[in-house]
Amino acid sequence: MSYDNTANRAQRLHNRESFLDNIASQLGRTQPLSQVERPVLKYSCHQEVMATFSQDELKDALVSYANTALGANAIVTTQAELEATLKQVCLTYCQDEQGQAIPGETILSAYEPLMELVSAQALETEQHHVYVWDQSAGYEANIVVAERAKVGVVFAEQALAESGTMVLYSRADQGRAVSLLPEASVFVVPKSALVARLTQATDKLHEKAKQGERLPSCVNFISGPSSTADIELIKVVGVHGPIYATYVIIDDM
Amino acid sequence: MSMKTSDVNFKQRIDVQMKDDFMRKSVANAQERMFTNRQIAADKLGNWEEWREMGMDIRNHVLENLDYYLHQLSEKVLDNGGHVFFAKTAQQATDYIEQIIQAKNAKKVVKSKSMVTEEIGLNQMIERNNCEVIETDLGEYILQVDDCDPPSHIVVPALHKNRTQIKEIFKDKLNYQGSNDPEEMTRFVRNHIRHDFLEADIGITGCNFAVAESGTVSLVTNEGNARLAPSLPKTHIAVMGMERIVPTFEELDIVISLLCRSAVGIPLTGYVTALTGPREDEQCDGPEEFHLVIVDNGRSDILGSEFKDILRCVRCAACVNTCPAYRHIGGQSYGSIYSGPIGAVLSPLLGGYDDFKDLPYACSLCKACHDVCPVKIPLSDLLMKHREKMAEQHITPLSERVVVKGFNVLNATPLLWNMGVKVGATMASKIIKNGKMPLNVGAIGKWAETRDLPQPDGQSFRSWFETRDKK
Repeated sequence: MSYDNTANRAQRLHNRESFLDNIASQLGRTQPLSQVERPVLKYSCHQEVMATFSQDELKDALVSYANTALGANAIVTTQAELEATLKQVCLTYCQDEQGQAIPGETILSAYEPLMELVSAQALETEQHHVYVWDQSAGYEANIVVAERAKVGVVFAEQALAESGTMVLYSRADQGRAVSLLPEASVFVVPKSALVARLTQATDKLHEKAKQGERLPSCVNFISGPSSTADIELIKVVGVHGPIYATYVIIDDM
Repeated sequence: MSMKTSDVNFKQRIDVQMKDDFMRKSVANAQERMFTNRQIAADKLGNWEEWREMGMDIRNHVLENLDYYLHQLSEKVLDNGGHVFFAKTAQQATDYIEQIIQAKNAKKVVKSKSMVTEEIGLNQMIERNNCEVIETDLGEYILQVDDCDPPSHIVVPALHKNRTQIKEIFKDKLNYQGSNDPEEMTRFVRNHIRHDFLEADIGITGCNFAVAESGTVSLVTNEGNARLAPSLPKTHIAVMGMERIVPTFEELDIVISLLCRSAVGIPLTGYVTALTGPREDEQCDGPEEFHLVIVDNGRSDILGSEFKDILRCVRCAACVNTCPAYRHIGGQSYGSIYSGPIGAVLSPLLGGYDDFKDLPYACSLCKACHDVCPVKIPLSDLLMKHREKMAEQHITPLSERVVVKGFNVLNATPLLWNMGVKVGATMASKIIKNGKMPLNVGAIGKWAETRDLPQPDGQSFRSWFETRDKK
């Protein structure tokens, strides 16, 4: 990180002292507290959810929840078959209503673990073009593709079985737009990255913060395609984010 | 819109709303569905009472040490390269954001749903600067397009409108040509405002919870708009009520798990987004600048008062979804952006008794809200406290005070009491005809409107009791 966090520090802060003094006085103190003991949580019910599950059981829970409750499509594949699986998924999203192939584009994350398993060329056909996210090309060049692409493929950091959630960290080689602007989102996740619930994901972030690391500027917990129920409480899938979501779980990784 | 959404008095608002059959049916239906979903989700998770207790403890700990955690949060935001503005008043908050808009010469702002920005009247300020502001949450968007119709629910703001009304609004204002199918209308909005996200100079969001240990702002949403708004524009401004904070990610887990289940009955919403500062240097998308605006606007006064518990609120609307008063009068009757039990407690605290003195009476003290609150706020006790305070300050209506005084005199004088009971019983038998009284005043009038009274026999209960046939 090259950001100089001491630069203009004072200019970036406004009214703190008077604001906190007032709070302290409302709480019956003469000045704000400078040290606080954070109490340990009273119960451990959050850690007990699916605590005894094996990776395969977590996978089954995730697949079943995603396919039934979320309106997502969860499939299981292997490292060797990943390219073929991905290609098929992408091509399905580049079809018209009669199932005929139409020209379509996929934007692929350049995140290393994905690049090691998948080559862009292997996913291409005459009608299906694949663009790999390229931070050196700058904002405009990447966003233009992400906006017109039918499919965005990303690699997830973790997946949460209880809620069918994919955890994404923003990275230079995996921009936010890849999982946001295209009509369909495809998430690739190794089975070993499956955990029970949000607890394990927040624990990981808590550990990073405790070490004084700066967290990724955008961490997303994504459960299925975007949706709304704002009109008569009727669930409609596909609002501002993707309309479709596929989870590809790599069984032997 | 500021917090107050109507200049009409409470009783007239209720009269209008009670005649809106669609709204009433829709609210009843929504309450049943959301109440049931919440219950199923809580049961499925198990140990719900333990979760609630942890939620309450976390929120109490934060409130008791709020000065410390706000300091820590602001330090972390600065470490990450962001800006922090502490706003004592709504005016200070909007002034600061106005400076940013002017400095950037912004022409377009996209907003994702945020109650606190409604509370401080942010949109009016933005529009005064010849800058377009687009509410991107579908519900909020419908209301904005409909000449800023006030919200009727804190989670589902356009709950009071049906699909045909929404179609007509889109047709009139946006030249929409499609049907009243919710999916078709949703797609229309997706396509209609996608370019706004791409063109906007500034994205403004609220903040469900800030995480003090890392300077993170978290957003809990479904539609994807709260991912777009702080991703595409160059500047992201997050506005938060000063109490919306947790110490670390460990506590964030608990409060978000409670929030999603209590609000919509699912383990997690479509998107939970944790934003930490502006983007890192080597990234090419995400905002270059991040501003966190921390708003007091009356909250510190609550913190030092007997109403402190209300600041635990996580804005899930479980209380709204269970309240029988809300069910009958609907959200717009409250005349505040905050409706239901939470609105009845919070609106008078933030906006004063002058405008919101009626709200603490929109409650039958059934305490159902207390039982569903994920952080155990004793909402009905707080409503009683409001009533006590207003009685002490003589803010209650003159007629009520006269009646209470009169009752005190009667109750303290047995002779008058006995006479009164006898005269009353005789009078009642003479004037009640076919179950209706000719004269219906005050609260009794509203009550009697929907009920048939029994035909009295001219004697009081006591005299009947003394002379009854003893077997």
